[in-house]
Amino acid sequence: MIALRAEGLSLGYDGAPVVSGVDLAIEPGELFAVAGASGCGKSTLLRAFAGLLPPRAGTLLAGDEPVRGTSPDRALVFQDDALLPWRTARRNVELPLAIRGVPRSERRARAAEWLARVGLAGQERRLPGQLSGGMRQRVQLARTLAGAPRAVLMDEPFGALDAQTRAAMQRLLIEVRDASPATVVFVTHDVDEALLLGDRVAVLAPDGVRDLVDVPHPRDVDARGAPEVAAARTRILTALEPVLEAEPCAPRP
Amino acid sequence: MTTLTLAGTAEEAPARPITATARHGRRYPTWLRWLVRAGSLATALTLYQWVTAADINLGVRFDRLPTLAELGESLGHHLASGQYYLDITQSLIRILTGFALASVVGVACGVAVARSRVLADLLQPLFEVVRPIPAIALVPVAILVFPTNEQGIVFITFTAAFFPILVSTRHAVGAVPTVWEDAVRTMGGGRLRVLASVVLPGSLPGVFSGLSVGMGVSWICVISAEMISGDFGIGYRTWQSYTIVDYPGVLVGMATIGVLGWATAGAVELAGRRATRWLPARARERQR
Repeated sequence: MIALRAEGLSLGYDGAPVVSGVDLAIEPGELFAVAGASGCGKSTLLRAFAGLLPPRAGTLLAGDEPVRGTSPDRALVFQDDALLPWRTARRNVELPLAIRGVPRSERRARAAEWLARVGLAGQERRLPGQLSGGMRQRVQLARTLAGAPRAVLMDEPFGALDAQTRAAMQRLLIEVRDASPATVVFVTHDVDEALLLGDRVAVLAPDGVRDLVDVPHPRDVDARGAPEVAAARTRILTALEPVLEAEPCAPRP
Repeated sequence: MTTLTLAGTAEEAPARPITATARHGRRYPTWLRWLVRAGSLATALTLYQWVTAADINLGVRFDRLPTLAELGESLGHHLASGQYYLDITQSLIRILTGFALASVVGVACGVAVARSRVLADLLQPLFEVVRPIPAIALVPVAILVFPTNEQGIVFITFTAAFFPILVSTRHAVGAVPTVWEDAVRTMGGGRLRVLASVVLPGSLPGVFSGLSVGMGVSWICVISAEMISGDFGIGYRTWQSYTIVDYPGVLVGMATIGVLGWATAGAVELAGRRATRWLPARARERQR
């Protein structure tokens, strides 16, 4: 587990910044949700935390160290198609272990263990193309966690799934995170998903964090109808609204 | 998909590739396909036999060409002589050496140019200037600079195959989705790991299309080079047959080149299929 901090962070590709003035302090072990309309820099922020995109201005810290590049400590989970299609499910999960220098026989055992944990025992030898979207995301989750990262950065990981599969994946995420704790930054455009999974929800806009909401009863499905949750939901939606109407977000580069 | 145990999960079935039936119309059995293929060749031979045996002259003088019977006789002589096998072996050694070198160097240069801006600036102008020169136009230079004929011919074969492999590799590497590289880098993978685990396997489909084209061009050039400067080899023998007015020999030589080219192209194709089984199109073919 590791703390992640952004101070006065400005990010962008060539040309105008995508997002600027971001101040965030993510606690070690926290499940931190980031909501925002598409094109408002959610993915960009995550790429910066992963070390794939250097900041244009401001500081970005992982623990006490400034983020200077990619690291096995900060793994990124993508929306779809991030598995290597020529590797079987098992060999995909073995990849981060190989990078960490785990010996071959141990790699195999650990990969099988992880696949079983995400409910894919018996599917080890399948290629990603032979798996459904939900199963591929399970493999990706197993692959990410097998590398034992201290922070997991998830970029709308369930965004491409149907409602039922998505709900199952949300439960799975809660389950496996209890077993192997890590700081999780979870980007989503779905307010309910953010409220279900996050300890806190940040609403991101191109000019920084618009609101930061503490989630009452995080990860408690039964508390979903509670009035304080409804209040938090309204607050997040209110924070999202001006972004949607007054200030159209930049298209993705 | 009943092995999943998560409570309350209505787990979806795995995505199945579109079946051949839907995409390719009615399927027909494999033996019939082979029959059609063999029939196609047989029809061509029959047609040849007819125009040559009936001494057809339609402006094009088919009557000058040997009939199938004469060709069979000539092929028999060839098969009985050791020379024929020596020539085939010699040509195969030349083409396989040149092609193997071109594969290694072509893929390496293609990856280098696609992955490194500095190397691209250094090498790309050279490649672009040399590429338009037909490999066969290098014969004079090859004769001048290489101590033996053999090396010259291998060099020409190499040059012929090098450029299609280089260009295909460069494009294939450029087309590898960046998400795979990002994923491996955020697992802590460095440049070499990305190269070995993402770039090379991910570009294989494109690389193999370059290898196929390269193999074809290699044959053109090895035969031409042998005709100009060889003292062995199937190309040299074919030209030799012409100069001694042995027309059946010329045609047997041509047919031999055809069969050898077909076999080597088939080998490249087969290797390519094996290396890219993961492609969605390959999965569909396996179902057929």
